[in-house]
Amino acid sequence: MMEIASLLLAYAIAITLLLSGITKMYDLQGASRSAVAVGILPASLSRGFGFLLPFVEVILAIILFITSESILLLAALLLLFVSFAIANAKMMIEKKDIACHCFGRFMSGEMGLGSLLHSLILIIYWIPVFAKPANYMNLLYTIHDFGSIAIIVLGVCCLAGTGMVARLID
Amino acid sequence: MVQSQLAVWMILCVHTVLLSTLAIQFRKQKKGNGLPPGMRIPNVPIEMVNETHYLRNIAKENNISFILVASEGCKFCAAVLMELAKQYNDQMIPIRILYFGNKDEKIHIPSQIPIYSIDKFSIDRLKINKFPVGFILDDNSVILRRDVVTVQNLQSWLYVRNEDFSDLTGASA
Repeated sequence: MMEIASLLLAYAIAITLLLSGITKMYDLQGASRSAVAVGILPASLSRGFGFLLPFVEVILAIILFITSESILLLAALLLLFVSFAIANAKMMIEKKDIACHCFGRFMSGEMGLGSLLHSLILIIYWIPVFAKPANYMNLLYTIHDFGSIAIIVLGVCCLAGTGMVARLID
Repeated sequence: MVQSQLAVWMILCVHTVLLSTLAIQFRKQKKGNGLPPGMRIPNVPIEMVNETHYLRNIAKENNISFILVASEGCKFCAAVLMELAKQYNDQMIPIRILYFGNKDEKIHIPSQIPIYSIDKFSIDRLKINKFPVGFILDDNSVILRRDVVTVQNLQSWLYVRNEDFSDLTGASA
């Protein structure tokens, strides 16, 4: 039961990261502009971070689809989500009006409360994944009936959707 | 087993309905004062005397420009446009007016300010649902500032420079 919960939450995180990474790849300039505007790192480092981030997100998502048994992967995920939360909190405190570019040009939200909530939701999802790491491929091989597969697919979509809806809050 | 599966289906259905309702509500409550700074403005078509131009080409003409989006039947727009006409001088940044609907003939705009007409589809793409809205664009069509323009804050739009937005462009670092 705990392994299934871990799978649902890990896949919700992985889908979010995959979407975020792929959409950002279509707008690398925008992602790097947002990273510069956040102003935590020096501009040149921020630009590099903005360019690299989409590729890191896609790689982490692909690994997470397979397994969450790597402590390095879990640490990288937590670091990523905490850095997103800090960046959004900083923008909120400074009352800056800046595009998030979290999903490239496909979702034109700004940094602030919505994005902060999404980051916090991802951190909450991360906790059970960390508590019960598993090899999801092996787990999926044991599931054969259509009903269970449909529940997993819809469950993952609902969990990922919860974070996306949170982004819409102004 | 069947009962627990049914329960999970119920939870998922309720969750989906709840998420959809929340998404619709949050979308309705969005401020609607334009795309946020940091994004490139969409290359929407705008018209002037039956000739089609594109917003990004307009932005490319100057290293910084002020785009004022006004609408027919909006008294705040009329007030801002009249104030703009009163304050206008050649020290200001280049100004372009995008007008949604027919311009009120009573409003006199200095001939140096080009006025383009914009359609509903383009207004939606710019995520505008209140008027008048202003955008400061750089020559790369990146939005540097967006907000509702008022008679009180109009002055703050008219004398900006690229350097004022160094936190967005990283130019100072």
